[in-house]
Amino acid sequence: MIQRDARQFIPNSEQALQDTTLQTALARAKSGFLGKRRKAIALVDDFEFLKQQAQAAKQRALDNIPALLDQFEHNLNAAGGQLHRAATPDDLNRIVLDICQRRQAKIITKGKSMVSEETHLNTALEQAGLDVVETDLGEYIIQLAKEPPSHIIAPAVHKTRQAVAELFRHHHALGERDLNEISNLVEEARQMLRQRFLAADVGITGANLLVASTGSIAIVTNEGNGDLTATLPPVHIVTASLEKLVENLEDAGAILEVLGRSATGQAMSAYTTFFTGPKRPSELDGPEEMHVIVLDNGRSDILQSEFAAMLRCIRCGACLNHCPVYSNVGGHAYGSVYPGPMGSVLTPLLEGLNQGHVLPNASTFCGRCAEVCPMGIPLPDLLRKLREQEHRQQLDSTGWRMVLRFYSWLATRPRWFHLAMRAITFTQRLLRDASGTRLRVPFSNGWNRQRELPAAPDATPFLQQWQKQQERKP
Amino acid sequence: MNTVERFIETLTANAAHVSCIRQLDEAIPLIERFMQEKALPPRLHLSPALQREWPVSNGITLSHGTTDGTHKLCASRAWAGIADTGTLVLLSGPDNPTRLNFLPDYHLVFLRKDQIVADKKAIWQKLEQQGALPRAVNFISGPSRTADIEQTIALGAHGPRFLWVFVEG
Amino acid sequence: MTTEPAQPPLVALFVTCLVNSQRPAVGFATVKLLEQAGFRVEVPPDQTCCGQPPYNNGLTDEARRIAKLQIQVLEPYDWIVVPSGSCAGMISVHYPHLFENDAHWQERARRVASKTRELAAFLAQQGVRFAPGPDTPTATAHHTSCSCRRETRSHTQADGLLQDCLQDQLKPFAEPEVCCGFGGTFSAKFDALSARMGSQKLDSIEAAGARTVVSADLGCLLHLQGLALRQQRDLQFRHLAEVLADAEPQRENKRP
Ligand code: SF4
Repeated sequence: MIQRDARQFIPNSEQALQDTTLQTALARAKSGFLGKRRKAIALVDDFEFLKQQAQAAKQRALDNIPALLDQFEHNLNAAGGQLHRAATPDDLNRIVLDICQRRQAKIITKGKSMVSEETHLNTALEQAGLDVVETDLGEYIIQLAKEPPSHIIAPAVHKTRQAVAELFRHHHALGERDLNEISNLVEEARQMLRQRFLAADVGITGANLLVASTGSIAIVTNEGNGDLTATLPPVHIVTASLEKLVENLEDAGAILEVLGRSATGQAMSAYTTFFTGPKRPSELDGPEEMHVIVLDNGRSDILQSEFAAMLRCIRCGACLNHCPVYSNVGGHAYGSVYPGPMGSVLTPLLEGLNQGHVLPNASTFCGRCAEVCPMGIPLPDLLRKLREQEHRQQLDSTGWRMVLRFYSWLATRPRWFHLAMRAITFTQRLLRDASGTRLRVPFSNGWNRQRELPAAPDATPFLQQWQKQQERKP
Repeated sequence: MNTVERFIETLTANAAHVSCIRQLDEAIPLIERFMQEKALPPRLHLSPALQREWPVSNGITLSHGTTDGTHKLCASRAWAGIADTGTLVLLSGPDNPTRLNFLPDYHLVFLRKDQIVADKKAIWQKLEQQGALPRAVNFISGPSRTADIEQTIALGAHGPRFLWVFVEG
Repeated sequence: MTTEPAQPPLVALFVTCLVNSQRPAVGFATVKLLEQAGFRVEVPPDQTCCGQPPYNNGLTDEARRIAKLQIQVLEPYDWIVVPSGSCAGMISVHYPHLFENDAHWQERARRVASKTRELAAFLAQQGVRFAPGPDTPTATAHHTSCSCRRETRSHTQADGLLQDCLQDQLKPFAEPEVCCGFGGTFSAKFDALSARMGSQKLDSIEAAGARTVVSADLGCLLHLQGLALRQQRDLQFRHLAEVLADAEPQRENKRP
C-alpha cells in the first residue's frame, strides 16, 4: 500500500513504478494535458504577455494582503455575506461545523476545494455525523474509493475507466447495466448526484479568486457542479486560502487568462462564476446565507519569507503535468495533499520540514516546471532553498552529509582534490571487469542497483596527463 | 472577420449550437422542430425577463420563474457575449434566476448582436460601471463537460448537456 | 605602417571533475577544438569542481567556498569554456546568486559568469562550422541536457553544430525536452525513478533508429551508458566535444 506520509516518498515511488494500471493511466493523462495546453497557447498571440499581466496582478495583491482582506470583508458584508478568518486548519473545520450545526444540516454537497483537502474537512464533518458528498466527478470517484486526490485539478487521474466502473457497480445499487463507455459513467454520476444537489442543506465550494473591490468569489469549473453546490442549498460556504485575493475584476481577469489555458488547455473553462453575497430580497433563487472562510495556515509567515513567490500559485497543475517525476509516480507517492513540484515546495512549508523534507529532493532540477508555470514561480530555486534548510536542520542523511562535506573540503584544496582524483582513477582501474567496459563494485548502492558504472578508459586524470604533455613541450 | 462572426465561431468550437435570428419570434419554429426531432414534450420554461417579451407560441406550453430541476428546456437572456473566447455573460436578478443556467438538460440563451464584445477587457469595465455586482455573474462557454475519466471529454456532467444560443438582430 | 599581430585571446578550459576523472579524452577533444578555432588554451591547474554536488544538496556555505576558489582561478582569462552544460550553468547562472549578500564577491562572480560559455555555445559564437569527418558516427541522437536547454540555453547552437557534421545521420527522437533522470545525486538517491526516466529516454532514442548518443553533459551520458550496459542495449555514447573534434573543421574556423 502506498503510504500517506510524505517521508515515505522513496518506497512509495518505487511501488508506483511497478503498478502497471497506474502507469497506463499516467501516460494517458500526461499526453492529454500536454497536448491541450500546447494547442491553447499556440492560439494566443503573446502568451508571455498574458503571463506577465497575471503575475503582476497577483504580485500587487500579495504586496497588500491585509488591506485587501479588510476591503474584501467590507464589500462582502455590504452584499450580505460574512467573512471568517481561520488561522489553522482546525479553525476552518470548526467554523464550518458550527454553521452546519446551527442550520441543523444533514446533507452537505461539496465542490472541489484543495483548501478543504488541506484541512481534512471531510473527515471532520463525517466524524460529526454529517453526510458529505463530493460533486466534482473526479472528487466523487476518489471519495467512493476512499482515496486522496492524486492531482490538484484532476483528482482521479490515476483511475482507469474500468476502475471507475467497478466503483460505481459497488456503490450504486442499480443492477445490470452497461458501464463500458465513459459517457455512461458520466451519465450515471449525473443521475446519482442530481438527487443530492437538490437535497443538500449546505453547499461548500472552494474559490479560485477573491476579489477585494467587489467582495466577490470566483469559481471556475467545467462540470457546473460548483454553481449547483453554491446555488441550490440554503447555505453556501466558501473555503479559500489567503493568497486567492486580487485587487479588482480586471486583475481577476488577468489571472483567468492564464489559468484555463495552463490547466486544461481552454481559453475559458465552461463555467466561471463570480458570486457576491447571498440571495437578494427580490431574487427567486440563491442561498440564504453565504460565508467565506479564509485560511491562513502559515501563509502570512510564508509571505514574509524567501518562499513568498510560492503564494503566486494559482493551482493550475501545469507543473505537475510537465514534471518527469510526477508523471512517472503519480500524486499518491508524494503522501501529501499537494503533489508534484508545487507540492514539493508547499508541503514542507505547510506541514513542516520534518514531515516534508524528502520531497524537495525528489527533483533533478530539470527546470521544466518553472518553464511552464504561468505565474513565473522559480520552483527549482525554492526546492534548492528547502534542501538548504533541510541540511541546516540536519534532516538530511548522515551518510550523504559526511560524503558531501568531505568532498567540499577536498574541492577547496586543489592539491588534495587532485590527489583524490588520482586515487579514484587508480582504484577504478583495479575494479574494471574483463571486458574493460564496466566496474565491478563490491557493494550495491543507489547507482548500481539498476545501472552499471561505466569504466573510465584512462588510469590518469586529464589534468595530470595535460601537465605531463605541457612539460614535454619545448 | 467581425466580432459577431468570431463569437459564433468560438462558441461553436466550444460545442454550443448557435442560431442567428432577426427577432425573437423566428426562434419559435426552430424550437418546435427541435422538440419534435428530439421527441421532447413541447414545454419551455422561461426566465421572467424572457417571459415578458415572449411572442404567442401556441405549439409550446410555457412556464416561467426559477426551476426545481423538473424543467428539461429552460431559456434565459444573456447580458453580454465575448467573441474572443465564445463566452456568454448572464447576470442574476429577479428577472434572471440562475438555476435556469445549470439545472436543465437543454439551456437556450438569447442575446442581441449589439451585446457582443471583442474580449473580456470591455466586460470588466462594464461590470465595474455597474457599481455593486449582482449576486451571480455567470460566464458560460459551452455546455457542461468533464474530462475526469481518462482525460476524455464527455458533455453534460452536471449542468446542461446542450447549450443553444440565439443571436438576434 | 605595420602592426604587431595581436595575441589570440586566452581561454581557460574548466574541465569539470567528471571529465577529468572519467573521460580525459573529452578534455583533449575540447582543447583541440579551441585551438582549431584559433585560441590559446590553458588549463588552470588549481581548478577543482564547480560546486554543484554540495550546492544542489543544500550545502550552500560549502558551495560558496568552492565557488570563491574557482572564481579566483578563472578570473584572469579572456574566456572560460566548459564542456558541460550543468557546470557552465553553475558558474554563469548560479555563482552570482550565491553571493547575493556580498557585493564584492558578487561582482567578481558576475565578471567570471559573463566570460563563461558552454562549449557548443562558445564554438557557435565564434562562427565555427563543421563537415562530416572519417570517424563521424552514423545514426546519432543528440540528447540535450536540461541545463543546456534551460540554463545555458545553448541547445540550439549545439543542434546547429551537430546538424552540420552529422547531416542526415542526426536522428530526431520523441520528447527531447524531457529530462533523462540523471540529476547528479538524484541518480543515486532516487535510483529507481532515475533508472525509469533514463530507460524511457533510451527507448525513444532507439525507436528513432539511433545507435550513438551524443550529449554535451557527461553526467547524462554516464547515467544512460550505465543503463544501456545493464540492459544490454546496443548503443554507443560520445561527448559532443569528441564528435566535433572528429569532424572536418571548415576553413572559417581559423581566426584571421
Ligand atoms: S506552481 Fe505554477 S504551474 Fe504549478 S500549479 Fe502553481 S501556478 Fe500552476
